[in-house]
Amino acid sequence: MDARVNRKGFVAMTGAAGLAAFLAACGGSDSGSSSDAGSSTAAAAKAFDPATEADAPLEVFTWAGYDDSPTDGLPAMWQQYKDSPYGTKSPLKFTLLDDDTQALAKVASGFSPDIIHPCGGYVAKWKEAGLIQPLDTSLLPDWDGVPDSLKAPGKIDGAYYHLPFDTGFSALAYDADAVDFSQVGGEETWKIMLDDRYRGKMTTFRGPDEIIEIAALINRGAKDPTVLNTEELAAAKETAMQIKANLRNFWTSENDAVNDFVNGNVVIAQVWNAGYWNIKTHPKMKGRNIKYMQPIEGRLVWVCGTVLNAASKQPGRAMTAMASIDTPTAGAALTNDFQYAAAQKNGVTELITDKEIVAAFGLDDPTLWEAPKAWSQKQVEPYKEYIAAGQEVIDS
Amino acid sequence: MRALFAALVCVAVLAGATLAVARTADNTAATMRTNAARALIEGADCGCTADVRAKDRIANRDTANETGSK
Repeated sequence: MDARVNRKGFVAMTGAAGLAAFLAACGGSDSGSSSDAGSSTAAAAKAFDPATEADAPLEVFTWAGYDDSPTDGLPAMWQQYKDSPYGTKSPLKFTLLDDDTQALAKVASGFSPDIIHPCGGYVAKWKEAGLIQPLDTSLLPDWDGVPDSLKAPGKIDGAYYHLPFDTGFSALAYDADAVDFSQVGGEETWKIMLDDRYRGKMTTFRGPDEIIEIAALINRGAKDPTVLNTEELAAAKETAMQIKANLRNFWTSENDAVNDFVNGNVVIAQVWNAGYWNIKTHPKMKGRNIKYMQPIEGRLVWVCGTVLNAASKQPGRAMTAMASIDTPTAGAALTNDFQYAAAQKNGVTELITDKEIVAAFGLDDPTLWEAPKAWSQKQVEPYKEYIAAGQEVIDS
Repeated sequence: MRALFAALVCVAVLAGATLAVARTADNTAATMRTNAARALIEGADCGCTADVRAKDRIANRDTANETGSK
């Protein structure tokens, strides 16, 4: 409602305003009456009261597999909300998103779900576009169970915009009977990707920032690879080129990487948790010593979660629904069904059915998720140059 | 009476014009916001490509359902 008024008012007076001013003014500033999400200064979270909000469906814009469908979704995520008084007053309505960029464009052009599910690397862009507002974390009883490292990508100007939900590592699965680290220092390290004894027997994800992040870890050791200066970026690009020379391919579906591994086409594959688990438990890998590398430079960590639309008319109930996905029950379902990790760390491991997964990914060891053992993937800087460098490596 | 009628017509015309301008402005704003967002995310690929995971997730679940392993 406020956003609509603002747009009209803004367009009436603008024409000369630049893009940045436009986004700030139109996006979610809601100036005068509500959020300051579009501001570049520190944004204080407002306190919401779900009890005073009007009854209407609560719209959730999320990924396939995360709706409340008993067959296609993850109903445990939303059960607590559905069992609450608001579950019937403001029933959940799901729309599935295709990719992060499409989601941002769709909401910017007028689609207005209350809750959206972007990944950490995009939260700053949602904020920059003025489309989201700070979370009222007082309505998240399990908030303290989420480690600060996973909250970091969504902490902007001192306010939290992102409730981390699903997360996992990005690291190398390797056949320990076929790969040795003697030529690269003897310890598990990303430098194994420069070892040309395994040329053509490696695969990695086709992500322009990811290949640069790996190269930066090789060059600089255990330091945050998401922020580089000009010289470091140039050096990382050179290293990434050397990695590429050793690759069989860049994968675009993790299942392809798994298939390449179990069929003997590669012995080293950069994969997420589920990819490693699918390799390790594949019948063709029976009796093989398949490991998931804990490199001396640290693993990469992806993290996705929910944000609150700046134009939501039910921010309190949206927060109540978010509280539902922050519970141990929801987190355990994420591991049981998809072998991912939950951002929630308190009380989850007890509810995970397969304890081997807990051990395989250190789900009961919070230190594995903190620097310098792991680096959360937030928006890379300098953004354009970083992405361009990685893309150049991939396209070369 | 005539003055009142004229005033009413005037108000109606003004209201209509205002609505039309507002609607046009709103549409323009939406288009500009979309374009601005697209510019903002140009080349965006943060490596946390949840869309890749979503496709694999669904494919794996379908396979599990077909084989009865889930």
